[in-house]
Formats: sequence, structure tokens, C-alpha cells
Amino acid sequence: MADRSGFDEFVATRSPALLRTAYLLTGDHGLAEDLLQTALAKCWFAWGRIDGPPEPYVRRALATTYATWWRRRWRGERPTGELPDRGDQAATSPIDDRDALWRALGALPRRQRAVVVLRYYEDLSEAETAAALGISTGTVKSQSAKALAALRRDADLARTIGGEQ
Amino acid sequence: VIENELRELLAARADVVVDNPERVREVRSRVGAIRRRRVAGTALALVVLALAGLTMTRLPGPPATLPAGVPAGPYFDDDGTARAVPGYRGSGYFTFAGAARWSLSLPEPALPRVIVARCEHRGDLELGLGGGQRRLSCRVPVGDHYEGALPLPAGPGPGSAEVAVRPGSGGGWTVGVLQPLFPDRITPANVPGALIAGFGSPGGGRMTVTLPSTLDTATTMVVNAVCVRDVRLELTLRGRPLVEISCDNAHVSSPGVVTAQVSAGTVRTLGLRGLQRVTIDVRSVGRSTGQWAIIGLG
Repeated sequence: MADRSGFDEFVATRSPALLRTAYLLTGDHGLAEDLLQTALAKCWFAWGRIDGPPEPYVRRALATTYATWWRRRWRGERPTGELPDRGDQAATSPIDDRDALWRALGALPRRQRAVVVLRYYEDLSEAETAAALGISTGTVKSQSAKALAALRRDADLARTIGGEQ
Repeated sequence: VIENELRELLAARADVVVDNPERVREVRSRVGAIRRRRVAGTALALVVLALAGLTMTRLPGPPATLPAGVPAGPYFDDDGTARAVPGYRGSGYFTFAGAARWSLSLPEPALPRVIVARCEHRGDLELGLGGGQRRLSCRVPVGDHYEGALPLPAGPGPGSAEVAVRPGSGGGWTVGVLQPLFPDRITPANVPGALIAGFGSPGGGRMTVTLPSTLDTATTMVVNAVCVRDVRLELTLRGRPLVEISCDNAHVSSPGVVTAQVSAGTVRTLGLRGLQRVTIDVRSVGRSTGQWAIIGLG
């Protein structure tokens, strides 16, 4: 029987931080809850085999679940009963720019979004990000560069539109 | 700049996230659900395996085959009539059904015999052979029926077999006996009293015989021989052709015995008469073997 002592305490203490990461990855509160539950449940089965501090292992489970299993489960379009409000382009403000950036972040490919979240929210190094996602450091660099370029384009577009109004 | 904006954006967005106070309980619940799915998956896999095992046990085994030492089938047509089997002659065929016992006449045991059977459904026959019991399995699918065979070696044995259908082997049956037209091998013991044999002189020899008493210049005469396949014997009298004996299917009078006819013209030409004592030269011109014997004139 695996030793799972400490699991409940870990979840209780680290759950808020992990949920924030999950939310930044998914961009949706409900999906973030589901992603975190799934990753933690996976970790529960492996808890007795984790060497060292469990947080890097859990974070990696979160990231890889998002990058793989996530794609199957949540990729489809979700119907909604309401059309989204269209913002008044003339009322551009820093808040609008941030929204545009958030939307642009949501449009990134999942791996680029994961790299961005781990690098600029978790403040992980390139090597730590690579380890968390199970990819090479070179891939982290290239994915990060592509993500930033895409965000700049979208952010610039938002500003351009705002400036023209 | 974008990196700083990103840091600020991500921090601001993350700040509004409120954790679920029931996290531990819900994770435990998710673990339970995964466990149940795993158990169900294992159970389903076991059920599938069990069903596959059941299916496998119900699959037919390897196809039934005829025993060694019997000619290739089929032995019967779908309408129940006996088929010609190359190199064999059939006899004694009869059809029956039910639980009664029947007697099957067996030909002379100088040559091997093969009892053949046709059955509507898979089944077995019990054969009583002079006190011994043998089983004939009729399970080789042929057209709309099944067939089976049982080889009986050459040698002393009963002149008939008592045939009974094994319980559970219903339907109509036809049985018969096949015997090869030629022996694989003959020995002096097979041809006691032979007029001449090739055992010691495969190339031929000379025999002095008394012609049948019924012979006259208006009748024919036959010469009987026992031989293996493809032997050919040329018989001459005073240097003139008398008859040729060909050991092939066309000249078999009964399994193992070849008959050649001396024509009336030859009898007349050579001036042969009944009870005449003549010396006949025999020369083997076919297959080079001493496996032949002339066993009589008639």
C-alpha cells in the first residue's frame, strides 16, 4: 500500500496556488477546477513513489495534463446561450489593452500558453519550464519567442484599433 | 515591455481566483471515481476474455482427416452413389439407418481392404471383426455429407464385418469396401502353386503346362497372373507370340489378378488343343521386377 500521508495537507496548503496556475492555463474557472482535480487525482495514485518535494511533480502533472489530456476533453466548442458583448472600441483604456492581451493569450497554442504561464507567472527558468513540460530547453525558447511575437501582434492590433477610434 | 505586461496581467488574473474549500474531499471523490472505473474496466476485460474463451472452446477443432493408409476421397457422390476411386475397386455397398446390426462382406484378404462410409451427420460406426472391435469415424465433410474410412491390412482375417451405428450417430449411412487393384508387393506365399514366378528370375523363364481340357481350335483361352502394377509379360510358344499380359487397370479381373485372353485365331494358328502339353516362354518386358507370377490357364 503506497504511503499517502501528507497528501491531504499538501492539497490543502498548495491548492490555491495550483488553482491559479490552472486558471491561467485554461482561462476558465470551471475548466481550471477540473484540470486541477484531475492532476491531483493522478498524483494521489503516484504519491508514494514521488521522490523529494511533491510540488514540482504536481506542477508537471498539471502542465502535461493540460497539454495532452486537456486537448481531448475540452477542445470542442462549448455552446452558449448568450452572445458575448461587443466592446465599444472608442472607449479604449489600459483595461481594454489588458483584455486584448488576455484574449490573445487564450488564442495561443496550448504549449505556448503553458510556456508563457510557467515562465511569466510561476517565474520558472527555461530549464525548470522544460522539465515541467517534459520538453527541451530549446523548445521552451522557441515556443516562448513565438508566443511573445504573437502576443505583440495582437496587443499592437488592439492599440492600433483603439488609436484609430 | 510585453513581458512586463504579461507578468502584470497574469498576476492580476490569478489574484481573482478563489480556491475551493472542499478541494481535498473532491479530489478523494475523483480518486474514488477513477478507482471504480478501473475496477469496472478490469471486470469488463475479464468478461471479454471469458467470452472469448467460451467462443474459442466452441470453435471446431482441426478439420477431421482420413486415417493413414487409405486412398484419397471422396468415396461417394452427394446422391449416395459410390464414386470410382482410382487404383481401387469397390464392392459390398449397402445403405442402412437405425440401430440394427448389419453384415458387410469383406473380399479376400490377400490384398489390403478399406472400409468406407458415407453418413448424413457426423458419427461413428462400430465394426465387429472376428471378435475384435474397430471404430470407423465418419467426420470428413464432403459436399452435403461426411465420409470416413478404416484400413484393414492384408492377411488372415474374417470374411465379413458386423456393422453397428454408435449411439448418437443418427441419419442414413452407406458402407462399402475398397480394395487396391494391385498389391504393393507379392511373395511366394501369396501365389502357392504358381506355374512360373519372377522371384528368382525377374527377366522371365520357361514353363511347361497342360492346356485346359475344354480347349479346341474354336475357343479362346485365358492366362491369369498376379503382378504388381506396370509389369508386362510376353508369352511365346515355339517362338511365336501367344499372348501379352499387361498389369494395368484395364486388365484386372479381380483385385490382384490380371487376365489375358489368347484369341481363337491364335489358338487356331498355333494348333492348340485341350490337354496338349506345351512349353511356353515368358519374358518380362515392362517394369523390371520379379514381382509377378502366372497362376493358371483357363
